[in-house]
Amino acid sequence: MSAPRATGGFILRWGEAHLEPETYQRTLAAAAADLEHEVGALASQGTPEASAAARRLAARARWVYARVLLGAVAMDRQAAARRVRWWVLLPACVAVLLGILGGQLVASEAGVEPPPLVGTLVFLGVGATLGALMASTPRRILEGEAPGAAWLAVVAVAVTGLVGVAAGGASRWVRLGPLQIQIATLAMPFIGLGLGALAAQRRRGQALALLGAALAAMALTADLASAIVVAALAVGIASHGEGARRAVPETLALALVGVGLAGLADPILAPSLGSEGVLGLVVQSNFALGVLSFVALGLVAALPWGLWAQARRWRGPGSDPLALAPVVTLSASLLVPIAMAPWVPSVLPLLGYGGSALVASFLGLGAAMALSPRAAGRAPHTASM
Amino acid sequence: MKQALSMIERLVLELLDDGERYGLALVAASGGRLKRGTVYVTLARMEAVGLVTSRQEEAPADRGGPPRRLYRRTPGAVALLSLQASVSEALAAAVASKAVQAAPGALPPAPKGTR
Repeated sequence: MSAPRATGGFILRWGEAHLEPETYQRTLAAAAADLEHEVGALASQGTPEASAAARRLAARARWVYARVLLGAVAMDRQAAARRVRWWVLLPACVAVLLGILGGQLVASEAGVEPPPLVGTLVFLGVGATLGALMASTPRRILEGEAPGAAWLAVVAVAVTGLVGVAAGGASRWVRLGPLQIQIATLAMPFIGLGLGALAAQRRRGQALALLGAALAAMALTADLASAIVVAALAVGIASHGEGARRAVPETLALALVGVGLAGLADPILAPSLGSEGVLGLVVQSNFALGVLSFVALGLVAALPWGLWAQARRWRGPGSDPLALAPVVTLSASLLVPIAMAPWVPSVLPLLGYGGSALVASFLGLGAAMALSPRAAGRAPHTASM
Repeated sequence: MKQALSMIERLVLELLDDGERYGLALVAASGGRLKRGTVYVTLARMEAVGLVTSRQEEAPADRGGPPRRLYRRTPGAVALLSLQASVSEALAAAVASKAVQAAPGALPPAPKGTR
């Protein structure tokens, strides 16, 4: 009879793929080596009792590995949290919070129903948390997991198109208690990152398959605007290869023009296009507040410019296609609502048209931070490790 | 280097007093106070702050399996351990002397409202 082996190979493989190499060597690999030796030593004694103990220990190994893995993941996450640029993320949270409160004020001035405050705050909390997680994710993991996450996102969009909440001829939302989530909006950063990762790995066939599936799924939800942003990203990645520095403004322009045109045919937006936007109403009823709102919009519009300036410094083979997605999706989610604010009665012009866009914006901001050269230059572990 | 040791770190350092040991040997020597599922992360954290160092053993030819990781405490950890031990002893001595001075009947009355 062969000697028992410590089970739990899947956990070890997962840990090797997802933990920082140093962490893996010092935790899971060390545990696996010790357990293998312990099991072997017990089995080599030859007595029935020792053999039974060896089998018991081998069978329990996966639970030991699972606990070690949990601790190792926590250790990696703590180290990764030091890479998050909180001085970017926290002011963004404060700015959005002010935007939410301002939206309530604008809505009351304009005499329209304000968006649900608690729901929007929940979206802010979720978005900030996911943004921080994204920002703390090492580039290696981001690039490796992006295609899988993108396919999951496509499936989620397709399912939403089939069974989601229908409104105005479109089926774009999933209801989660009091919250209504637009899945395609959340999926966009992941699909963009997936396309970028596949392009960086030169897997063009898979990238085309992902693009086709994403567009088909978004067509199911009648979300033309999201489909156009994804298509613009694909065009930008394909036409510029690794030259995202040049691709950012052109891709963004393509996305914005496309989204603007899509708005004319959008079953949700089209009926309200041409009507006076909430900001217009505010200008009429409270001129000072209206001017202040437009100044605030102008300041927010400067953020995509800053992102582009950052993207111009991104270099390195394979890095740029991945970076294109967060910059363009984040810029589009900021610029489209700003451009349409005077014409569409949205009371949250800084947050897209709802909480899903807010979460997607934080995801984009987190991904941009994770992919920036500054993040790449910081080792997740201290020198003593 | 850390300024203070936790109970677990202190235990690990005490168990490493006779040289190098690997993770499971520490668990076996701890009498149940260290667990297989947590000792490796504890050791990795201790290594990150300079309390222990580690190296992979040179695997003997007659034994299969991957090489184990052996841990040794650092001179800084030894100094910190002895400092912490002396502080603990001083504190214990101070508490004991106060306890001797305080007669059982001389305890201050409990403040109002505590009964």
